[in-house]
Amino acid sequence: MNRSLRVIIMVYIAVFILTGCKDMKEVDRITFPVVLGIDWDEENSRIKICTQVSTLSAQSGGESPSGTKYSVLEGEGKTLKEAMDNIIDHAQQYISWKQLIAVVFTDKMAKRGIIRELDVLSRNEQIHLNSYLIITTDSLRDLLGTSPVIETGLPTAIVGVGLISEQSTHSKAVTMKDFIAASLNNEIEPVLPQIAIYRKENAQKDAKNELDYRGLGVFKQDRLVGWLNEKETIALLFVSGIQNQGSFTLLQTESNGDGEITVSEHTTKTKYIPYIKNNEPGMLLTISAEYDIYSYITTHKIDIAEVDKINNMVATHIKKQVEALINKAQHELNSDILGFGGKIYRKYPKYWQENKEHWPEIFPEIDVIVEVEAKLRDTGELTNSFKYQQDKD
Amino acid sequence: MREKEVISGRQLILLVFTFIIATGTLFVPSIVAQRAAQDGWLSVLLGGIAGVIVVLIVTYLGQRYHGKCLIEYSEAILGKWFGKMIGLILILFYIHLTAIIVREISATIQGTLLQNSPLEIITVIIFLSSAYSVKMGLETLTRANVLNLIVTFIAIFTVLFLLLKDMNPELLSPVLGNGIMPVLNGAISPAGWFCEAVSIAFIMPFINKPRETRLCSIIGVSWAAVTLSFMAALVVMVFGPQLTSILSFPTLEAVRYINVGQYVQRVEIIFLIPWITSNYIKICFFYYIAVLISSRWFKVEKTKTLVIPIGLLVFALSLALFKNSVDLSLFLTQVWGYYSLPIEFGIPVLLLVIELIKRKGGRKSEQKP
Repeated sequence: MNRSLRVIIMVYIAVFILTGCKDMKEVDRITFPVVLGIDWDEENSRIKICTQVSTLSAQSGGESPSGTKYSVLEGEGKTLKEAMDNIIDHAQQYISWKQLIAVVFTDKMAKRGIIRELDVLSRNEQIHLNSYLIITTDSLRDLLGTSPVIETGLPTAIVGVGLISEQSTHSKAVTMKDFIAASLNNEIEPVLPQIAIYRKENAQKDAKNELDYRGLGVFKQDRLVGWLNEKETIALLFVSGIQNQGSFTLLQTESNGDGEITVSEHTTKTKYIPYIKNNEPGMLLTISAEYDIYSYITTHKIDIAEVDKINNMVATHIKKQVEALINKAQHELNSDILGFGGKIYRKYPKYWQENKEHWPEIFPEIDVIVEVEAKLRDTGELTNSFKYQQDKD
Repeated sequence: MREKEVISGRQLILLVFTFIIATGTLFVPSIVAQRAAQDGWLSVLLGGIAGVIVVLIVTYLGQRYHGKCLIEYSEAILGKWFGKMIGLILILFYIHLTAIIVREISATIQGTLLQNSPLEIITVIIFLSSAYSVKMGLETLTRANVLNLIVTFIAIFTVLFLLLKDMNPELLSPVLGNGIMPVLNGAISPAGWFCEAVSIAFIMPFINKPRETRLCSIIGVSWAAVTLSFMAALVVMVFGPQLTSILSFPTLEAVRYINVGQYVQRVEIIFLIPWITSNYIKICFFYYIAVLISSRWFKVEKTKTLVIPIGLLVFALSLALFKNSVDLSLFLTQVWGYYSLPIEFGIPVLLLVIELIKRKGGRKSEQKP
């Protein structure tokens, strides 16, 4: 084969391989929804969806700095896929779901069960399994219409769920993968963070709505069965052993005056020790918590004895919270959100194989013992309190 | 193809590694998770042991019949007719195997990257370029593979590093929670992958230091086994056994899951491009073997002349073999192990047994004149 013929053949192959223009679209002809809200209309048994799309024109120019950077599109259909197709007609643009960051379900939808919708979403190759799932009781339109309080590059506050959950103890970031993996077995039941519109009292009429993360929605498989309030959410985060910076305040009511200590969890580590006694499973939770003191407003001097006292107070506080949470999970919600099933399965696989099917009936009955050990790590930049110093002088 | 081609021991290690893990990384984790749940990584290691046994057998035979490949010495061991039969089975198997690999890759490229391109176009592009590579010969291929593996390794480690925070080692326990049977059951299909190492029997005459062949091949197979086993463990640590077994490409999905600080995300292309180049090497290698053994079997002097005919057969077959992705994944999960093992594992064992019997018989007849 002579050289020129070879070159021609190579160029011919390259034409096929190197051009990807067949599906090329101009960027401003594509709409990128960042948040998808899914609602269930019980009366007509239809799915209604809302998406928040960022509008490129507002982002590029400096013409309307205070103007909206996003708009809300609505669609509906018998199934989620139909509704998603319906949105395309409304958008009059090519819709790419590749930038989807969060999916919000309403409580109506969640009570019906969301496994069908998750099937549609996880089958779609444009949507990644690391999108966040959120649950709300508010109207989707209002929720997606809220703008970030502080100006950011993000189109909406909702997409900040991952960031917020790193700092706040009122929320926990749950991705689609986490949820599906938890709902596929009965070793652990999933939870989703709840988001709500926060209405200020005496707010002006045109005041912007703000968002608030408050607690978690508890699921049984893929159905919503109840809610955890903020206190219970903190307890769940303690038990899950997440590094978190949430704080709580303890009131010290001693003989020599009232005091107030605010401590912040640094790390909590939880050991789950399942045991089986007379063929009845039980669970021993040992939580070791390290905390920092953030405010210490008492007249006491900080010394070893005082630290022991504070340690005890913190431990009792955590223990109370965790026990309340477990009690609620066992008796009120009957949902194994702490993953006791998985722990028992890992230690006693044979027992689990025999009783797997009956776990929902067994779970409320098992004995749970909680042991907490709290350790002071740091008192911050001060040692003794100002109050102590004042009294001393 | 130059007739006197030489590859070194080190190149052999890398070649064996590539042709085992290339398709394996994407398909094996899901297959073993379906059978053995969280113990899938053990199944992969067991499959690796089968591969090592095959290597031991073919290198033993190869050293006894120095300078000949399996097609040639099977005639010496079994006689002309049975030997030719074995050769024919192997030719058909290799054509079929190459077609399956081509389909695996073209289907994956279509499913993940070029969603609207017809399968035929992707297949034809692979055909044209791989036919050219095969014409260049084995030596070129192994050299290209060394270059490619460097990139592949960087990609694997990058991905691994970025996924660390999403892994939960607890999901791997309980080890052997359901007994040993699911693990053995799950090992059959990956064993089919590792026993592809039987290909070494055909390239042994090209290796410059025949003494190194056995050690290098074993290193290559075990290295691949450990890597694949790690991949199987990795996806279970990220997704848990239940979700892993229903994902089409768990490894790819794990890479897509990477999200570091809302900033480093959607990095699947780091993984996919090296994956495609590795698989391209794999296709070329098996295509080369199919051409090589056909030429030896038909006693064709110039191996080059068979490249295009065999290629047409392979690539046409790849389009006709499976109806859809369900067909392909069912074949790989349920049929592949039972179909490939008798050929990849059975034929070397058969040859070895007959060879040993002949040797013993030969000695006895020597003793009794």
